[in-house]
Amino acid sequence: MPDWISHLLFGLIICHLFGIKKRSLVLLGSILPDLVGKIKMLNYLSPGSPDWVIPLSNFWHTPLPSIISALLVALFFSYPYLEAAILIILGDISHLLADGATKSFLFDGYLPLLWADQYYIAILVLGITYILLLYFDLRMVKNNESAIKA
Amino acid sequence: MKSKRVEKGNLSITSRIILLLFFLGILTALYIEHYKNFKTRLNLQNIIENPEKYTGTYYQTMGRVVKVDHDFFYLLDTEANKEIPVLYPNHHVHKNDHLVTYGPFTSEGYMIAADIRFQSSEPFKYLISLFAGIFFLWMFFREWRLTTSGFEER
Repeated sequence: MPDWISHLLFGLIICHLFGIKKRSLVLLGSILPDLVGKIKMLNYLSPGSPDWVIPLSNFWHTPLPSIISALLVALFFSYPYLEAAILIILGDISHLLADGATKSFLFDGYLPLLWADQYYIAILVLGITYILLLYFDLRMVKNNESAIKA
Repeated sequence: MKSKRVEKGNLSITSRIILLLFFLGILTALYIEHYKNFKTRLNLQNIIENPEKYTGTYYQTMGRVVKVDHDFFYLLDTEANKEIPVLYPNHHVHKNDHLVTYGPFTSEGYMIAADIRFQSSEPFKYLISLFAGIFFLWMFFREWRLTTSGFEER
């Protein structure tokens, strides 16, 4: 369960690696499973929330419903549907992968790396990776430009 | 002549409505199934309501410590919003600490903590996520604008 900064950074790295221009769609997907999932915050605001709140929150955070919800959300874009859906699903998958790296006493994720409270490590690693990617990309562009001039 | 929207690979309004109903139908059916399973499978609600049935069952809960009393502390679980007594002798737990606890439940309905992990930065995580949400909205509305026919490219 990383924080949203980690999710967005992971989404941005994916956009960079795949050369995706419509970054906002991937970023939307990368927080989509949490958008409905955070309905459980109602429990903080009003103790004794209806008993469908927690199941709904858990339900939205599982692979199949989150992918179907991505297909549903893509309908609201005046953009080639398949492309929009694929980009949102890509972000969606990145979210589930990032969450799968969270350690737990009960279930150790797919690739247990960090505890939820170690989110700052995820932010640092992902942030530095993204900055390095941007830096090397910029350097490559500059090298290409000087090669063309020469 | 086809409209520009269809030529670009966009869906017509009718197709969108049909697909919307289709996906909503699937999601509803899946949720009903999930809800039924949730009611019967292992969860905190069931453990609290029927502690004898779940005696010795290991479970993980996460939440805020609302009271510390001798060898017990009381954890307000963030999901079920229930106060769970947790036995953790020789603890160094304080009121308002955010914890993840793991251990077996007893027939009396309290948990014996086999392990705990402090997550005191949990509220901060939500705060920075809020800023991330604002950043996302900025990124999103830089590329899209909301119109009557949905989100259109800027």
